[in-house]
Amino acid sequence: MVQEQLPIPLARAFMALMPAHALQKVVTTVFRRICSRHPKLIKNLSELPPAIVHLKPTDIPHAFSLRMGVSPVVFELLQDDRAEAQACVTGSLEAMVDMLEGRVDGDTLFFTRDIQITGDTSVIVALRNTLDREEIDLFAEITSLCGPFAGPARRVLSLMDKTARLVRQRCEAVHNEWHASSRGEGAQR
Amino acid sequence: MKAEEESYLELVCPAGTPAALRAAIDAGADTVYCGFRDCTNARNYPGLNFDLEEMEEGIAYAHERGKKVLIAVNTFPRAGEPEPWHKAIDNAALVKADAVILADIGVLDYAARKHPDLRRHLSVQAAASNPLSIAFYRDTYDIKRVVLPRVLELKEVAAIIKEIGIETEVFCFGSVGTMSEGRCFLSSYMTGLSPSSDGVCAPASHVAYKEQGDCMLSCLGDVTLNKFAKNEPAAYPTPCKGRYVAKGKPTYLFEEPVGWNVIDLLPELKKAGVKALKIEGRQRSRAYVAEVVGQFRSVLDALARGERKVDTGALHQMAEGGRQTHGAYQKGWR
Repeated sequence: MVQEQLPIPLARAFMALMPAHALQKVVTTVFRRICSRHPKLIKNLSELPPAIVHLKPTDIPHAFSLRMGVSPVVFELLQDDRAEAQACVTGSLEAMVDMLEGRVDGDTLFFTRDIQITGDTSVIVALRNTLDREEIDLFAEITSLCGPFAGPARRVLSLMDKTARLVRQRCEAVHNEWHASSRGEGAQR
Repeated sequence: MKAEEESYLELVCPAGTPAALRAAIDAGADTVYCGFRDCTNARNYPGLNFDLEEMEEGIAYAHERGKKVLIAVNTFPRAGEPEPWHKAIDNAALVKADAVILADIGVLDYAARKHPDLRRHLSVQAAASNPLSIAFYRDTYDIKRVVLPRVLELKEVAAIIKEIGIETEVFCFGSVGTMSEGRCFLSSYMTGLSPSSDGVCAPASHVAYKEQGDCMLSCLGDVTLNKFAKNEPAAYPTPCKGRYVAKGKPTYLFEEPVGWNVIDLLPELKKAGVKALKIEGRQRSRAYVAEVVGQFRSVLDALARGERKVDTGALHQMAEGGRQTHGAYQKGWR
């Protein structure tokens, strides 16, 4: 059985449309959920040297801030892009979620330049290693907020994601076909 | 384990965290190696490695599945400060590790005297690269296995194995080290921290990445190690992989950023008499561990059935710099 994963295109669209104050509430709720389900992760994060890390997905209009090495650990929407941070990670939302869930190797993303890091590298290495100790399923954490409807919610969202991907693929195919014929390639077939 | 169930070659896999240990075993590792959360092992990076409780749990997880756990205590004690290394050996014995991987003769001596029943392997950090050297460790400290340095040609590996009379483990995948295997004076010079005694090559606290137009600079201390163009694959910020300007031209003077991968040489390694394959990368994530171990398991199982499976290239992206090499086994540069 293929494990259901957070539908990234939907998540991206959702976050792009959400006003910051509303998204902040969602982020707080999901993070509280993660805190309660992964106490060891939060304890390990709180025991790291104090630091603020900015996480800046390149494909959504929001960024996030993680304050670790303090208790409680704080994860919130980044309100001011100029706010001080010891380190920053930049990359696609998908790369960040995949890394958080342990699906891809952070070093590989670094080699391929899919993520960039700036600032104090030891902060990023410590964060990466601390997260990698924990098995997190972000999709499950988010949908669990639906209580008894978590299962159906996962299935509906996965179906919506699948449909959206199919529609996108179809649109791309039509687009490519149209361009090929407008360049006269179709006539040569 | 029954003879027919034995792996074609023992697959020894890295684990920097308990989650990586479980991932390695679930993906098909025969043996996992890991270290304690201190300077006694050569991957002493922030947030990495095992405390005593995690090590005990990890060993239980492995043993329940018929797998082994080796503990690396493979750095070199600082003068007048042997206690962390002694404690690591005592703790490895306490949690019933299947073996310890050691490099320093003082630590080897301590382990042999205090815990004679604790199996000892000679770490690659000892850089024992000829039969006389290995025989010294074998006869003096009763080591049962040697991890051979990555400087030997395949025919040299075979020649050594014929003479030494103990098990050999060789690297099959991962980062390529410099000739002195972890005793990097370049890193010590640039950072003041020793890979040999502090367990950190290019410590993260001294590493910085900077943007310069479309390019990325990687720096260690106040030395710029490399400058990568916009979509050029990046490399670890280690001095040996630096691209230095010599005679006006940026050149990889010591090592190129390239990953070690000999997945297509496994029958030759077996024929040479190799007992075990080591995957490098305790500093890598559990995703890396699961992918690399799974690929090697699949090829080893095929070889055990008498099939020779073709490398699918799935490991290519995992390699540093996106490039792979057989390293010294087949010196293609000559």
